[in-house]
Amino acid sequence: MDAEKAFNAYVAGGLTRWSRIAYLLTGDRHQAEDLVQVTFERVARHWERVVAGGDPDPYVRRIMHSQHVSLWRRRWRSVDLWSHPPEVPVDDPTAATDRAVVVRQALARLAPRQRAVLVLRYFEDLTEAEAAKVLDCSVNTVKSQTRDALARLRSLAPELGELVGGGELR
Amino acid sequence: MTAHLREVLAEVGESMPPARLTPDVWRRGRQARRRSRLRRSGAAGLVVLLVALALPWSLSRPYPVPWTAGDAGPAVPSRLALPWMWQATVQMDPPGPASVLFGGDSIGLRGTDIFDSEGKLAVVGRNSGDYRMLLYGGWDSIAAGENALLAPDGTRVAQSYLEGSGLDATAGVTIVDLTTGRSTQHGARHGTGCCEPVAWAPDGGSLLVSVTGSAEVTDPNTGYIWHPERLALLDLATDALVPLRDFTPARAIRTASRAAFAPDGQTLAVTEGSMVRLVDRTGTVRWSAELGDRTYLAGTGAFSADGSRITTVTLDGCLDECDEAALAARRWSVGFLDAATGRPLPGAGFAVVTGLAVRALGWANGRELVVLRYEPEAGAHKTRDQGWNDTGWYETGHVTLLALGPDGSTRTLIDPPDDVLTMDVAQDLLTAGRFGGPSSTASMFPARGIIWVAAIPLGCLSAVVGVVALLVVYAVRRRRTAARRH
Repeated sequence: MDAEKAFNAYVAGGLTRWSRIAYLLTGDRHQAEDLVQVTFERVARHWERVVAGGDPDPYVRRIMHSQHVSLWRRRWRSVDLWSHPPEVPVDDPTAATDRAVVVRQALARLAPRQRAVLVLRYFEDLTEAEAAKVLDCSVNTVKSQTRDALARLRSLAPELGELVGGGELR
Repeated sequence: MTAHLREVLAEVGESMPPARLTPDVWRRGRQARRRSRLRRSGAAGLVVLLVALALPWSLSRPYPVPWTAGDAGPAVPSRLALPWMWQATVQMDPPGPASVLFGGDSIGLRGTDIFDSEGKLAVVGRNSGDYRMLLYGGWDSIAAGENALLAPDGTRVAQSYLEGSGLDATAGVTIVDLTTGRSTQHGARHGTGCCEPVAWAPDGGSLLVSVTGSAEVTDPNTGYIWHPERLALLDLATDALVPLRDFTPARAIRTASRAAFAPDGQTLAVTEGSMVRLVDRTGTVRWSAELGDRTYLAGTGAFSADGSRITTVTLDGCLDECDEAALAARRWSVGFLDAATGRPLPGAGFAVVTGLAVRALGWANGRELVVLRYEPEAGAHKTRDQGWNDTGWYETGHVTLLALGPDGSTRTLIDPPDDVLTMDVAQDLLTAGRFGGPSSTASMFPARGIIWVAAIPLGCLSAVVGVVALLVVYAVRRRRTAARRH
């Protein structure tokens, strides 16, 4: 299989999963699509090197996270900062869909690195050491970012207390 | 963390359909690859040209003359330069005792996460003027003077983690010796919660550290969950750790105001909530003073030189819900507590400082208060429910080192480039008032290996250009010769 076919097969096979991760990182469908597009363009640039290393996933993950932070930094300068969310979450933590909306809105207000550690640790189920490798930081940093992210989630959405405050940190 | 959060994250993720990609992702990626190669080649040519031009100039420069005894010894430079992206590390070429440690967000102080180390601090050698780097791989917000501390005599830097030290990053304090480049680890046996450095003891023999506990505490006011922290003294010779206070949710405290050593090192002023307490080296409280929500311990240099007064700073201006203009317009006035009783003392006529925040580094000649003034980052906006740090890397746009005199005078000691956001100064030079030293520029060499990322392709390109130029010259001469024959 030539390089382009192999790349297209990889994209087709992983598009759903990478789209979901991008959505969790950005909190917005359009931004998630942009992030996936930019990530795969980057991967295409270095495809031969990526596949030479075996499984492309770690490289794609690393690119997606670094691109996410870069895109966020570029956007940060041009947005209004709100002291409170423009849309108030529905106060009904028992409904699963509402709970997802609240979590999505709360995630959107986390700093990108905080969001990244939550996605890596609790969506992708990576260990702290693996997450540290993706984010190119120390395990201590991952621990503190996770701790801060959970605290901030709880602050932004107190109705999620049972999700983020009742369990034991791992 | 719970299975519930995993479920909800999966639920949120499932609501995202597969992204609609343009059909030419592969082609666009490959085009970018070609463009990138062209850009790299161009940049490489430029670097080679610059190196070629700079090298003879650099070699022709007189060797930097170190301060001599006749020059009254080393001093803190009056100006700082920005380091090169490839500036050599302390481990590669130790600069010797330092005068200043600083960080920021230029390419030389932060790098890029693609091929460099995000998170760097620069050390300025006090005798050589050399700039050398400490790398922190991914920790781009590391702050000189708060997360990484220059020892009182400028010979060491303490931090919880240092890239390239070869030491375990998950526990203990890493101390790098600036005269040898070698690192040692202290306190690792006390577990993963130990330790973040807070302040050097004046004799350099021990460190005040912050130890993170495993329990969780919910702040009743904000709902934040904190892993409580407590201050402890870490003896660097024996590795003994002496807890000073109970575990408290210390993250609610302004990091610049956590604690200060008295000049004799026997007592410390520590902040707990809105209280300042004077404790001895066993943690016994001598007195406590309530400061309110607008007055803070001024910084690690809060004690006056004779140990009789403790400096505080009081905010006049926006506390919460502040935009950039309101943050920049904050006014900070200097006050004092009696170190013997904790009672407020009358103010002494120091100038009010305008800025995002001020942090006291110490007293020069026992008379002038040396502070770092912080100005806000462009677009900064503080809200009540935000993880915010008045002296943090993300919040700061510029810093200035000032000396405040009791007569209301203000002297600028260092006004560094805008990209410098954090700074620490060696305490021995500060207390001796040794400021205004010669400025040195960051030399391009010695360099880290990443200089070759640009230099090798550019060297190859230059060679190709050179060969083509020779061929052209050769062809022109041949034509002229042929024309003469006819």
